[in-house]
Amino acid sequence: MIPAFGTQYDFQWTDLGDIELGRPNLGQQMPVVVYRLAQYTMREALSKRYGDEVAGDILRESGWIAGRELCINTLDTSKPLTAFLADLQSKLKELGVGVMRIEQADLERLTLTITVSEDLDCSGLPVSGTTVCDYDEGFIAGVLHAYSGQTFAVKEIDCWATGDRTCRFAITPDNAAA
Amino acid sequence: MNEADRRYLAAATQQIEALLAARAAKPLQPTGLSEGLQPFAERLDALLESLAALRRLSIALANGDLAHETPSGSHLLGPLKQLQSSLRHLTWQTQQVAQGDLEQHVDFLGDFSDAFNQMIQALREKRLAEEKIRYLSEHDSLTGLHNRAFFDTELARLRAKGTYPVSLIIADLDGLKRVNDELGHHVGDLLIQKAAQVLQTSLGPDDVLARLGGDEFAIILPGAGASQADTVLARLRTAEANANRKEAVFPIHISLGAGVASDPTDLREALRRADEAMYADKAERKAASGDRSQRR
Repeated sequence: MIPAFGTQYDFQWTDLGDIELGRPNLGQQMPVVVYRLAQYTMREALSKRYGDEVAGDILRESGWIAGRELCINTLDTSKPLTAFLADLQSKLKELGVGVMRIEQADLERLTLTITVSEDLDCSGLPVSGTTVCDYDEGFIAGVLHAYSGQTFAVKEIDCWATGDRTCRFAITPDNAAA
Repeated sequence: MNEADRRYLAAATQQIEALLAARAAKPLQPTGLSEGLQPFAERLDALLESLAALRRLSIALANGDLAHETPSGSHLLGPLKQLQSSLRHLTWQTQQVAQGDLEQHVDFLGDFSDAFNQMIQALREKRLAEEKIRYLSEHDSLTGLHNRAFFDTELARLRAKGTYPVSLIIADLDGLKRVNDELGHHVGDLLIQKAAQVLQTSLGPDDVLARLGGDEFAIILPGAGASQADTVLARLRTAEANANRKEAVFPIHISLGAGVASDPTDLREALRRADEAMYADKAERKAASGDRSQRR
């Protein structure tokens, strides 16, 4: 997937501001509940205005932009894929996004299965029976696009919200979008 | 309790017995049970289904079958699926290690993590030691240049596969024995290092410079014919003169000779020609030096 970019606003990394300057006492950290409050209330607002499917798409697209920007601004894209994945793993852990593991990687076909435990978006959520990590799906696709220049389809197979303890994502090249 | 209820309870008991005996069990999907029992039977079926999936996953993991596909949405399977995920990731990490990536780190499998990380650390140290041994086996400790063993290996490689012509240059530091005898080996060593620097700065990235031993150096110029070898010789002469201008107390004098090999069979002969040319240069320089002394 690649989001349809608008003309009103293009996110820039500098839009995140100087957090150290702005939060000299509170600093970089905040509770996960605040992040989830923002994410799920935004989902509700989007769902009410546009319906569940479009809300999911919007979250996925915003995740894609976030993944791309995080990759461009904090990761070394010149490294080979395996070293890059190791860096990504460390970065996601360092930022508290989740514990990423690679279950399977076919570097020729560019298909991967990864899991994210202790996921920022969903670990501990009530079980609803449907996957909820739309933002994560986009995020992973955005990171891999920024690294490789290729488009990827990322599908969440297992999620805490469907009763699993680890989120599992199947990643394949998105030939339809290419 | 009706007859269907009684038959169901007997069948359900058998399924539970099977599970307790570690045998396969399956949902019973009963119909027509009494109002109080039907919802219970449906939940028990869900439990049997989960337990059956749990049993299959347990057996697969016990047999090392990490590819076993598990159904989504069962909390009972959660911990084992997490273990399966960890083992799959560990498999991937081990594959990376096998391909030479020693940056892998495990932090999710208790004591095993420590053992794995210690193994990686030991492999890193072994790799460093091997790299050091390899470096020492291919380099000259005084100058840091390649040594004779590396030079011979490189020639063998060129005999097997190389871009021809190939030029070889022999360089010999004049008067080293006299310096060693009169001023000491530490001064001789400094001259050898200085000569190595002069030779090194005049070469390209693909050229190979080696110290063959004592006062003798050799250069391989891959893909270079006679005119390119002459250009390098001229560059070496200029570098020698520049170095001596900067450092007049212990000047260096290097005799040089080149030989060109047009194909792999000609390499040994080219080396001999380079050696001869170097000795001719040495004699010529000596004679010229004698002439200058006489004129003075």
